[in-house]
Amino acid sequence: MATRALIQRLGSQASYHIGIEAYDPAKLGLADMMTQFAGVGEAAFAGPLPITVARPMEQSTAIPAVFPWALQWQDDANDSIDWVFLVDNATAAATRRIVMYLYNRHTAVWVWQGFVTVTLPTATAYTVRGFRMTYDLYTTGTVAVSGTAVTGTGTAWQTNKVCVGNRIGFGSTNPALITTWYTISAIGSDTGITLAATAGTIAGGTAFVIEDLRAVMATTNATTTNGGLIVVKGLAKDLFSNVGGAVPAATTVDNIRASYWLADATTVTNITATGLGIEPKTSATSQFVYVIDGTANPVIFKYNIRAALVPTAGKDFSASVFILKTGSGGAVTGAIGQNNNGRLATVGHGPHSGVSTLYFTTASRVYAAPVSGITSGSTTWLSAGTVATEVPPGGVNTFAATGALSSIEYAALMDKFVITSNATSKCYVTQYRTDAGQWDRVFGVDTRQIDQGTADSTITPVPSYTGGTPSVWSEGGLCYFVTVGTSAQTNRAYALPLGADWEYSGTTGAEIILPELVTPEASKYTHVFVQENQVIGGRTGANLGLPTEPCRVSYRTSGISDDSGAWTAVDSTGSISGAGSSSIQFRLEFRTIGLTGIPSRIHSVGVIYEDLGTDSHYQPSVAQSSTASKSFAWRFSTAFGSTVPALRVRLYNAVTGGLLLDDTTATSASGVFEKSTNDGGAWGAYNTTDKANETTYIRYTPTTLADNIKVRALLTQN
Amino acid sequence: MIHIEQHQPLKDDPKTLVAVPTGDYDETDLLECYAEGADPAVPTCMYQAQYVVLGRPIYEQSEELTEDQVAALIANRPAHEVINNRKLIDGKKRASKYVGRVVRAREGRALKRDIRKKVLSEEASTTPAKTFSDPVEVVEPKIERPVDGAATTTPDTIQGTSSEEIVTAPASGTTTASVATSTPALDPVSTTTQSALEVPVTEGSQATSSVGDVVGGEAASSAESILVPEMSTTTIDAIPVATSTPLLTPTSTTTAEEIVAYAKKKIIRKLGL
Repeated sequence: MATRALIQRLGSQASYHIGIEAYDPAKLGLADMMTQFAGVGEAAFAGPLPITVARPMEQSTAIPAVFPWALQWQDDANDSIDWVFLVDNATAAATRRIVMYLYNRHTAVWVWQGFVTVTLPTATAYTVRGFRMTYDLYTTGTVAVSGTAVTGTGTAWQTNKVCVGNRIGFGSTNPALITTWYTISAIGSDTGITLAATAGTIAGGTAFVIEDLRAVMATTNATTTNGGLIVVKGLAKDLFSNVGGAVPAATTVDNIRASYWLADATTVTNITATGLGIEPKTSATSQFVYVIDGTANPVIFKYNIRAALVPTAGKDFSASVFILKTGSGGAVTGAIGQNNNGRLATVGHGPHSGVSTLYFTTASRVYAAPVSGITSGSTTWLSAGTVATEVPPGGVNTFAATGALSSIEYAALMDKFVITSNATSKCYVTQYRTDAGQWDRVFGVDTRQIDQGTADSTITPVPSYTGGTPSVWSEGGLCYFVTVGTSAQTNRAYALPLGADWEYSGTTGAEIILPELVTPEASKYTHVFVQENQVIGGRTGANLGLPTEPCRVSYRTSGISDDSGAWTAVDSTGSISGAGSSSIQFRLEFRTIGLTGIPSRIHSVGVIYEDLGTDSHYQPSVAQSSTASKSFAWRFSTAFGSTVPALRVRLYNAVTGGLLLDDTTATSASGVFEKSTNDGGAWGAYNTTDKANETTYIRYTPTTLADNIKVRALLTQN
Repeated sequence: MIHIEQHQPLKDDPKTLVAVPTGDYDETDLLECYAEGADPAVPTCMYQAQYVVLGRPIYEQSEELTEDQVAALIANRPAHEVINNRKLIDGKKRASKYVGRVVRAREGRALKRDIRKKVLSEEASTTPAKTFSDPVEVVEPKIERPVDGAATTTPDTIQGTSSEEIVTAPASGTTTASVATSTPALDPVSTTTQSALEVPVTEGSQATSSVGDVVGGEAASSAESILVPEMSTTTIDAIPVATSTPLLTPTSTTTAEEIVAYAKKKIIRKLGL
């Protein structure tokens, strides 16, 4: 039996996307947030998306931008692109800018798209406290186009509140397949649209898609009664540019590219927003937003952001727009932060499982208020909910509570919350629990690293909190982590594959499945080995590189062809004790929620096994074998260094390959094992004592064996 | 302050036009605008005055524009040389009031409150205090731009004075000036005088005096053209010529000549003449 090793090198393996493309045992399977990079040497690897950083303050127009909101705009076999939006954090002003990046989930590359400047409906100074975008597609019906005139069949554009400024594409209902977009300059009817530029002639019956992109901002204002909820309609990706598209304030016309002020009264009382929660759209005229107001005795304002507006100077506070205001829910413990603090979620765990609930944090608590209790004038909306206390994992004797919780985000893929704290503490990934139990995970650290564009080239980006409280958004498991600041040092954006963490891979499916590894004549698997990059970045000199988070391996030897086999975990020793098989397959899982969160990079994976040749510790002996007595002998050539393990003898018909006999030293059911230590001078009972000298032999004599058979004798470990 | 012409197109969007009347506005004032070909009486959007004139580059800078920057941009200095130029920002005076106004198309042009306040305060020693007790609150003439010779509307009350009509001189129509019982508003027919209440001082701007825009007047390059409507130098329909006799006879001890003289002096000083 010989020892063999097989290795699979990563970087250029043919691959498929798990969950999107069909399983292929011959290829490398990459789940969402997993990727493979080709290259030379250490540049070739596979693993979770590397952490990369975007620097809004280092763009051509420096804009301190915070409060991420992201959309998986494209996620198919061709590409996986997120749209990521951030909002202006510069000194309060009458305009606010919205920044847009594209993030590629295959390459981990950020691409600066640009920004727009939104003129807000009062000429006073705004600060954004809560930020969301909405994105909807309109594809019902077909169109015919002649120049700038678009005629719909089966369309209902006005009814569905399509906005001037939206973009439309022809030929498909899938935005990712549109090659040329056109801006809508007028909407004349349910079946009539005018384009800003000619689209030529397009035959009737053509599919189309309209992207309805909007911004929703909860604001405060230096003139306090000018605060409140702002909705920006008629946005489009093409408007975001290096020079900045301009969006005016509305006057009296609805559904155009403009900013609208949804107010609660002539004299607004929604003046101390801390964040907001937004429900999914339920119809063209219905989508509710809940604005949390007040830092100590919160009140909730509810608006319908899709109500038909009849604005005056851009402002509308009609009953269809402003739905209700609760009473004060009572004093909360700790102050409610104003950094995009609020999240509406229907989670799958905890006391509000399956219930639409508004979550927000104070410095030391997480409050949860079911939406059903948010009614007009209610003073019990908060008490009708629950509250969670900050208890770090390991307890307060392991980690001190931060007492500085800042905001909360729901990571649906993991069914967990991401809770941020201030710039010198840590963040959590945790279920919501009200039993004073420990929260699940902590991550992040303030390393003082600030990841500037001109930083040392040997560093690797790490989401250090340095300088800015984090604000986060989770989309498809990817957590966009942005430090809230106003300078290049304090305002940075990272994409963290938190959802790829091994703790939740059973739910998220975050894994890499390696191609099937054929193991010819494998008698017994012994070990798996993984070559990974342990330090990303510089390893000499200043040693600015950082260690990665770990990965773990599991394997299977059956159910490979149809992806039905169960996986067996391998511990850190790498030992595999399974019997040999025709092939083996490995799976990799990764920890991504940790101190640095820097994902591992796997260069190769291999297996060591014993094949069906004579065990390498023995050599067949012609001299001590006998055809007359039908004895088969081997010289003990290499010591084990320990007690001899159980050996196995198999006799095959050398002509037909058929197995004639199969016996082990442990059972001796079909013959007799013997041992000699003097060159066959004397044979005694077999024992498991290690090799004594160069004249040590063992032999096996079957109890019965037919005559006139050409036999091949195989000695292996059992 | 920044000068705006009614119906002027946005610098970055020629198909969007300004609906508010011609005048000088604070950079951060929101001005109603309308789409080309549409009815200017139904404006559909609002933009900042500075954006109307200077375009998108101003939003590439987070800080508010300084006076130096506005002047440089108006003088057509390339935006990339002006925007985010620390030499033009650090230690420089901000161009606009921090809080602007929403200027509706029908409400008239922006009142140059600050300028008038400054002017009047400077002239406090020479200006009869009892005439302008609180310049900031004196008048915000909501006078519609006369259209087709329509009569003007009545302005707001001048604090400390009785209400009075401020006379404008429409292009072709007629208007009637009533005699003020206290402080005269202006003497629009004089070719060498100008409104005592409206001191159109916007340094560097061009005179665009036009018929009917006498009140709340426009920056001018010469004192004589500030408030000189396109009208007869002798008579304007029912408005008698005022050469030595003020149009409005005040009952205060301040004479029209004194008011006019004060205004004239200020204008000359501002223009450096």
